[in-house]
Amino acid sequence: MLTPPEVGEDPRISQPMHELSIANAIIDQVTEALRDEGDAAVSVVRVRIGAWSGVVAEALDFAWTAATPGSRVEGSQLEIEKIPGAAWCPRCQKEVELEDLVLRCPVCGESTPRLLRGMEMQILNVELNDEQQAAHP
Amino acid sequence: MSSKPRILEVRTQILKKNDELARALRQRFDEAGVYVVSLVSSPGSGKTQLLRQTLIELAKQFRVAVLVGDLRTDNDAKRLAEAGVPVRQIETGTMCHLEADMVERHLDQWNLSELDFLFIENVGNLVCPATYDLGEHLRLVLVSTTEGEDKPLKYPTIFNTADIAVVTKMDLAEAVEFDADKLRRSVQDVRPGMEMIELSAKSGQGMAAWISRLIAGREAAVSSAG
Repeated sequence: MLTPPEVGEDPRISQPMHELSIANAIIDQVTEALRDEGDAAVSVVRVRIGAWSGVVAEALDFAWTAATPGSRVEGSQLEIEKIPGAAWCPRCQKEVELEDLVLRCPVCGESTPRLLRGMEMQILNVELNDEQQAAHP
Repeated sequence: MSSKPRILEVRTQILKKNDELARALRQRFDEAGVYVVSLVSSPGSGKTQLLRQTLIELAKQFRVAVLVGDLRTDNDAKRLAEAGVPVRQIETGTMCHLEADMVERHLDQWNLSELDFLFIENVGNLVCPATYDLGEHLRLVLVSTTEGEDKPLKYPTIFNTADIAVVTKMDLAEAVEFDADKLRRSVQDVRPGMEMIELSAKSGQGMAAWISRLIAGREAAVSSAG
């Protein structure tokens, strides 16, 4: 059980982390998806996390090691595909990739209200090893 | 000889359950005609004080109730109960945010159709609450004049997912040399076009406009739902 540390100024370091809740939500969904798949061990779980989702990949990776023991996916590796933010630039009339967590076109400086990518929080797939039995099928 | 690993496609949203529950809650709120407003902020931004004054004003004309998310104490709940409206605490323990199922569980004994407004005070934190839909109609993010005008740039996701940025403690603006334009620019950088309201629950500045905004929001939601 993780105790929220004192809240400080740097959100990446000292804020309480909800990545543990996110890790548990992934475990729940994957366990459900594996219901009819026998007892094969899971070696990899692949997810996609957008830069604007509010989930920090490094913190999620850490939470994974804390949350998976005793679960259906114990021993698996979490592979996180990071999706950078992309927005529609009304001046350039095209999609632009955002460099920072700022909704402004990196080419012309125009404000880009419409975020096209970067909010993702998806489970993609899992890799099963049929020759190895899961610790907690 | 080892066999090739087998790939099982899952292709689902990580927070599918929360999102489905939040949608169901929103529908339930719509059917009951209750307008649901959530508040997020850093600790110490004046959220409880603003909420308390808001409850006192709204309770003159409307039936109002509050859900308060707090790590363990019930200080906020006690302060809010002074406004004379039903208050229920959601003790979050080690959780740094509210989720839709926590809201649902705490609605148990309330008859929603006897309410006009329901406020949900999230845990004081600008990171974790951003990711969870609670079924609210309006999400407010509070930032006080004492917090620094670059706060939105440090917490872009919460500003991007909120509907209105409420600037609190305007009575202290001059003393702390608060730069309203700078804050406006930071907000626009992470949420272009975002509505902003400046007020002070202590001095009363901006409170009348704020209350009117809430009432107008409720009327629009109720007429579109009903």
